[in-house]
Amino acid sequence: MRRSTTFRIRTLHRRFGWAVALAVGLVAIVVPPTMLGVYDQRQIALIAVYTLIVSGLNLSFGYAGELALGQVAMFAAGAYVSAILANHGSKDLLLGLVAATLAAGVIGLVSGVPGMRLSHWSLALTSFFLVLLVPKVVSLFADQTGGLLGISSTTGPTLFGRPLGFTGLLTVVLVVTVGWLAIARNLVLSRFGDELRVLRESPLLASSLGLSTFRVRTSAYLLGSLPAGAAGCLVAYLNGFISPDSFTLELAIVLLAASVVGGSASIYGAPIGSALLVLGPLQTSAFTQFSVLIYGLFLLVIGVVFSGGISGLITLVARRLDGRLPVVADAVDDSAFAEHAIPGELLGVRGLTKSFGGVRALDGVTLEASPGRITALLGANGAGKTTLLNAVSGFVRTDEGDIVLGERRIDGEPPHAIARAGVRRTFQTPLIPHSMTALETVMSGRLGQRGGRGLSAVLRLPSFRRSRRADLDAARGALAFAGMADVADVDAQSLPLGTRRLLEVVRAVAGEPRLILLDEPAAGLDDDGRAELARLIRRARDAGGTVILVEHNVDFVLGLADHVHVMALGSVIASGPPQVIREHPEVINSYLGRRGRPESRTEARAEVADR
Amino acid sequence: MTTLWAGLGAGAVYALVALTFNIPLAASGVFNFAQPQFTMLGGFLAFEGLRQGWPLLLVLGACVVVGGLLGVLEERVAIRPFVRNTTSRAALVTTVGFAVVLEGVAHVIWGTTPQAVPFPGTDSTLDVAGGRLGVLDLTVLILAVVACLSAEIATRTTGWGLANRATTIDPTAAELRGIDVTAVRRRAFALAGALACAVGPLVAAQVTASVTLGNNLLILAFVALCLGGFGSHVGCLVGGVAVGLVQALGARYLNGDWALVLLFAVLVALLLARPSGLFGARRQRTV
Repeated sequence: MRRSTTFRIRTLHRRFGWAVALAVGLVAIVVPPTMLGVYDQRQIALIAVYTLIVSGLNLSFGYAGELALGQVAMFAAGAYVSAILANHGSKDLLLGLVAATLAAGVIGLVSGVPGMRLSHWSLALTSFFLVLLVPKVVSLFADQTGGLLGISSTTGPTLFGRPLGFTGLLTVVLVVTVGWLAIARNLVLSRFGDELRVLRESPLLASSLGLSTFRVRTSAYLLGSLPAGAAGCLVAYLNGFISPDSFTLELAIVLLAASVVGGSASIYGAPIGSALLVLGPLQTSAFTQFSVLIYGLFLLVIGVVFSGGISGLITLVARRLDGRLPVVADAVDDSAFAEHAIPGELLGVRGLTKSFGGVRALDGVTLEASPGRITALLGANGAGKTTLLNAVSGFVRTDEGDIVLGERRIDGEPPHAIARAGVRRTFQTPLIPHSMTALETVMSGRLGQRGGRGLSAVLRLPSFRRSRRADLDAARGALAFAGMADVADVDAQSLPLGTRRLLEVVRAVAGEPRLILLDEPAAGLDDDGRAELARLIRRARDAGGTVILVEHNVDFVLGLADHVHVMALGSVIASGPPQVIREHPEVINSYLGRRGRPESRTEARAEVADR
Repeated sequence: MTTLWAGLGAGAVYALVALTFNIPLAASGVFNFAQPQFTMLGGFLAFEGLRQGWPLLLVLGACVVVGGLLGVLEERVAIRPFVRNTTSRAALVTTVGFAVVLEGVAHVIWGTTPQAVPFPGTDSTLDVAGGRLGVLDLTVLILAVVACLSAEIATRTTGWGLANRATTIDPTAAELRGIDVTAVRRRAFALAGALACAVGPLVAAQVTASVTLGNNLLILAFVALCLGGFGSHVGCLVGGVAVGLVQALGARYLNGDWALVLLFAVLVALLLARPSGLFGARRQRTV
C-alpha cells in the first residue's frame, strides 16, 4: 500500500523544505558577487529586484486574492525617495532602504484603504491609476525629481559610512531579497497565511471565524507594497539614474506576467517567474515591437490553461508522485472519544425585530439559550429561523431589540467582532476551504485568537511556537473529541458531506465557542449521518456548550433538543421541552399539520368518489 | 463656458465607456478590463477606413461588427473557463491579458504614433450659451444620453434586463429557471463590445487614435463608474459628465498634470465616503 511508504515529497517538504530553501538562498547570496562576470551580475541584480516586487504582488494577488497593478508606483516612490535623499547628500543605503520602504507603505495605505472598499477589480483599477500618476507627479515636482528628463545622483552608496562597490551593492541586493523571501515565507506559514487562505476561499467564512476581511486584505496589500519600495531604492543605486520611463504601465504588465508565470500563490514563484522573464523575453531587443502582445498572450494563455504557474506545476507533480492522500471510509472512530471543555454562556434575545422591505422576518422575538442545553428553532420555510441565526451572528443587522451573550451586548456589531466574542456557526452548505487538511480546517477555527502573527511569526519567536502548539493541540483535541482523530491529515474537501458537516462542528468547538449556532446541519444526511451528528451535538452540550440548532426535520429536532422554540411568521408561537411541543395545539395547527382534519377527509372522499 | 462644453464632450465619452463596463457587469458580474481597448481599436479602424475613403456609416458598421465579434471571442476565451469556479480570480488576469493582447495588436499594426482621424464635421462648432460647443462633442453627448437612458429603461422593463439581473445574482438559480446563462453573458459581451468599438471613431476624432487611448479611458471611465455607482446606467452618465467637468476645469485653472491628481483625490475621497456611488444600491450580504 502506498500509504505506508515513508518517502513522501510532501513530508520531506514539510520537514526539510526550509533548509533547502535556506541553502539555495545562501548560495544565491554568496556566488554571484564572487564568481560571476559583470554582465551576469547585472542580470542577477535585475532578477532580484523583480523578485522583490513580484513577491509583494503575490502576497496581495496570489494569497489575498486582490489583484494589484500599482506595485510600479511603489517601486517608483522608493526609487525617487532614495534619489532625492542622495541628492541632498545622504547616500547611506540603510537609510535609503528604510525611507523607500516607508514611502511605499504610505502609497500602499493611500491606495489600498479606498481600493479595498469595493470588490476585487476596484483595487486593481485604483492601483492602476497610481501608475498613470507617476509621470504626472514626477513632472509636477520637477525641481526635486528632475522631471521627465530624470535624475542621476544615485551613485556611490555607502553602508555604515563605508563606500560600497558594485559587488558590495549586489551583495546587499541579494541579502535584502533573500531576507524578504524568508520573511514572506514565515508570514505565509503562520496564522496570517491561514487567514489569507480562508479569506480567498470565502469572505463569509473568514468573518464568521472572527477575521475582519478588510483588515486582512489591506494588511496583505500593504505588506506587499513594502518590498517594492526597497526594490526602488536598490534599482536607483544599481542604475545610478532614474526617470519616469523606468516606471511604466508596461512594467506593471511584465511584473504581473512574472507573477502568473511563476505561480502567484507561492513564495518561490516570484524568483522563478522573474528569472524566466529577465533571462527570456526581456533579453532580445528585436522583441520590443511585439513585447506588449506577447505579455498579453502570456497572461491569457497561462491564466486560462494553468493558473498555478510553474510552482503550481511543481506542486502538482510532487502530488502525483506521492499518490493520493489517504481516504478514510469511516470517519468516526467509535472507540476513541476524548474530553474537551466548551465555555458556553447564556444567550438572551429580547424583542428582536427585522423587516426586509414590507416583510417582517422577525417580529419581536424573545428567547433564551443556556449553556449545557440544546435549544432548537423549529418552523416552516420563511418562519424567520435563519434570519434569527444571521442576526445573532451579525450577518443581518436588526431594527430593534437586543442580543446579549453572557454579560456582553452583541447586536449591532460586525460579524467578525461577534465571532471574536465567541459565537461560532456552521453553514447550510459546509464551507471548507480547498487544499486544507481536516486538521488545518479545524485549526482555522482558532484564527480569531490573538498572537502568532507579525514579528513573532517572522522571527519564529517562542511566543509564535507557543500559539502554534496551542492551535495544534486544540485542533487535535477537538478532532479527538468527535472521535475523528484519524482524519486529521485527510484533504478536507474530499470528505463526504456528513463528515464535512461534523468537521464544521469540530471547527466551531476548537475555537472555544461561547455559543454554537448550527444552521440545518442534518439537511441531506442519511440515518447514519444524522445519528453521528446527533451524538456530536450531544457531546458538545455535555461538554458545557450553548447550542442553538435550526432544523426542519421534526423527528431529529424533537429527539435531540432539550428545549424547542417554534417560530411562524417571525414570532415564537410556542416554547417548551420536546414532549410538550409535540402536543401543543397551535404547533400542530400551524406547523406539524393535523392528519385527518374533517375538511381534508371530505376532500379525500370526494376524490375517491370521482373515480 | 467653452471649457464646460469641452468637459461635457469628454465626459460623454467616459459615460459611454463606463456604460460598456456596466453591461457585462450587470449580466455576469465580470468587470471587463479590456473594454476601453475596444474603443481604442475602433479609433484605429476609423483611421484605416477613412484613409481608404469608406463612407462614415460603413466605418461605424465595421466597428459594430468587429467589436461584437471580439466581445464574443473574449467571453469564450477569457471568461467562460472560470465561470464555474467562483473562488478563482483567474478571470481578473485573463481580462487584463485580453486587454494587453488588443493593445499589443494595435502596437504591432499601427505603432506608437498617434493618428488624427479626419472625421467629417470635426471642426464645426455651435455658439451655445456663450461658449463654443463642437458638433462632434454634441453628437457624443446626445449618444451618451440616449444610450445610458435606454440601457436603464431596458434593464428595468424588459425580459432581457430581468435575465441579466437574475444571472448576476445567482447563475445556478437562473439556469434552473430556464435562462441560458451562457447566452445572456455572451450577448452582453457582444453588445458592450459593439458599443465600445463604435464609440471609438468619435473618440479618435476628438483626441486622435493612439495605443495609449485605452489605458487612459480605462481609468477615467472607472472613476465615472465609481462616481455613478456600479450597475447604475444613469449613474454612468452623471459620473462620466462629472469626471469630464473636473478634468476640463482642472486643466483650465490648474496645471494639466494636476487634473489627473485631482481626479485621483476625488476617487479616493469617494471610495472612502460613499463606495456605492451616487446611484448604486448597497446590497446587504446574507448567508
